[in-house]
Amino acid sequence: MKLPLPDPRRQQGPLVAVALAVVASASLLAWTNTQRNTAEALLREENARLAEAREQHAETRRTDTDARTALRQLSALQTAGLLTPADRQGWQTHLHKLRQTFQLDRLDWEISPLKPFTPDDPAVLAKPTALVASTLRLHGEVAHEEQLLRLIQRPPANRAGLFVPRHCRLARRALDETEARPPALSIDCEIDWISLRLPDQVR
Amino acid sequence: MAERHLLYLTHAGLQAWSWNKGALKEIARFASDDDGIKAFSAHLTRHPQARCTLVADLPDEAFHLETLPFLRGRDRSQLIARRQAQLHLDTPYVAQTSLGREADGSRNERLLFAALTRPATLRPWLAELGRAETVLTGVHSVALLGTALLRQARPAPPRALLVHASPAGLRISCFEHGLLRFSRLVPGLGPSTTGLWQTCRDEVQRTAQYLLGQRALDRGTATPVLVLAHPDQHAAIHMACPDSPDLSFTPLNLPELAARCGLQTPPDNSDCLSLLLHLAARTPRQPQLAPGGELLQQRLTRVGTAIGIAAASLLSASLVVATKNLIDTRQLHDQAAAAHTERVAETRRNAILAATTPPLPIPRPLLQASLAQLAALQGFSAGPSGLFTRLSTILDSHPDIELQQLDWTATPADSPVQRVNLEASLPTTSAPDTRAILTRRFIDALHTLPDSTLDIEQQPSAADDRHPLRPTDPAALTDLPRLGIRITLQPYHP
Repeated sequence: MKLPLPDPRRQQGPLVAVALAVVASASLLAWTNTQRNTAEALLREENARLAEAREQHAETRRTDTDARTALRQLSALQTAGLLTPADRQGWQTHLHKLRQTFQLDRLDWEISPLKPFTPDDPAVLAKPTALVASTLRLHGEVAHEEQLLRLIQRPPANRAGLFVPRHCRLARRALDETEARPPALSIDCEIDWISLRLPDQVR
Repeated sequence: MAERHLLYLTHAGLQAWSWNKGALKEIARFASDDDGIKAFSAHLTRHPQARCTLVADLPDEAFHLETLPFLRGRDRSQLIARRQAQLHLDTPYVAQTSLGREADGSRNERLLFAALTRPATLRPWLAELGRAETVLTGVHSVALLGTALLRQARPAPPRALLVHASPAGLRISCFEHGLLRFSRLVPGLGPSTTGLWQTCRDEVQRTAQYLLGQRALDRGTATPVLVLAHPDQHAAIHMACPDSPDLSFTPLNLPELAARCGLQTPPDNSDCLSLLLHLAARTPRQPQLAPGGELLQQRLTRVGTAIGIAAASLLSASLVVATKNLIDTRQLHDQAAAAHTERVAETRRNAILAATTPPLPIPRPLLQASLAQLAALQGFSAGPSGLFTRLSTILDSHPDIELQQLDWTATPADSPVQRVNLEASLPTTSAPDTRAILTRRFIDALHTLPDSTLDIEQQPSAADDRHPLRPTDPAALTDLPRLGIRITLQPYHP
């Protein structure tokens, strides 16, 4: 005798329960996972923003420290007269006075206008600066080295700025037998009078 | 919870009992005819959730003892199936019970095949159970239930006969070390039968003779005969069943045994049915005789239960994980809120600091570069005066050497230096050896300049013995012997 096949409805309850359990479990897990992932993303974002704010604060602190240091340095420079530009007129007077004193008829010079300082080797000044300079180009003849040394020194009455000879060439002039002049030195020198230029309102 | 029904089957018909935690109650009785079958069908319809256990108490039984070689697993199963086929039991209702190894010490296994040899008695009832899709947990034999019964009658002797009465008749079973060896039902004998115990004694003696012939009992030894009966029958048992050289009758207290087994309503007479049904309900892993197909609903129910447990486990596990996720989510939100608060505070502090930072007149990089350049140039502020003074001193001490040309350059690099190209002449009238000596002395004097490096570019021919002289050599044509030197040295600080 063949038994009838079991009624599938008898398994319906457990199967429905399983299906509901699977759906409920999956939904619950998916929802909670989404919540957790969202919270993790939020935390990551907040941590990144916090790190950025901290970095910004540290940068501001560095800027503050540097600014105060720079101001102190500027104050020191001002005290040392390095913010005062070259006194071209005073220089001119000084040179005239020396030419007269030493009777240097064959001495000539040119004091350039104030312009941004550029050294001979551009690699030395890789970064732009706010330095300005007035350059004296001195050439001609002097009687001896002592006169040259006096000529390339700054005017004694003016201690402002940085007075820096750039180069100096001197050569003994070959004597012509017909000349009655005593032996002399031909010179060719360049001297920079350097200062730091700040914007007008600050000065 | 599903109801637990016990179906007690005899030749006369079928009794339906409900069982609940040791409490037994007869709920229906069906005759072995068409009306009884129909009534049983209706009964099953009324109890669709019932889980039924069929307990057969039939005289048509067969017990075969077989000896099998020691095998395990699939080989053992195949050998048992082959032996069972060889027995030609002609019934699907067969159970096997292992009686352990043989007494001679060999590893052979003794196996008892117990069968209900008249399947027609069971089929109508089982068909109705199948049709109603009622869960059938198993088909058990009262003979095999005797093992559970004897287990309660401690101490059980190694070999014993157990006698008990039920509505189907008087059952005499033989046990060997607590395991069933043989059983027979004497129909028509019940607790209410007149002269029951005298008949009992005769049937026991007859059975014992048979078992002695089968060598299931030992000759010359009084085999214990345990008679399960109500205490009010014990005296009658002693009267009717005196001990003999081969048999020793011992009545057992049926109500006491039933109470020990957990039956809530102990029998008030010597009928053991309630105790047997109770044991069938509560004893796990009883040998059962139904083929697999008959227990399909039971398996389906188990599958359903397993599925339900799996679903519940899945749900529980997901609840645990979900709870953990939610806790983590809350912690993460708290941490994010703390980070947010800290960020706001940091931004506020930053704004306050930025507001108090003094402004610079020029951009800081420009200022730094300017300061660095000023520092580099500072070294040359003294100009060539110091060097010129020293050179003058050296030249004064070497009157024979005359300075012709001097080219001084300041190089304000990372390591600022001043470079000098010096050209001097030596007296023409002097001998070459003298010029060489003068040159060497002058160069030695230049070496005394602090932190200086000298590079001789030109010197009189006599002083340089390493190079050949040719007509094209310009030094040979000049009037004055020349000395060219390049000096590199640190700037003199004012």
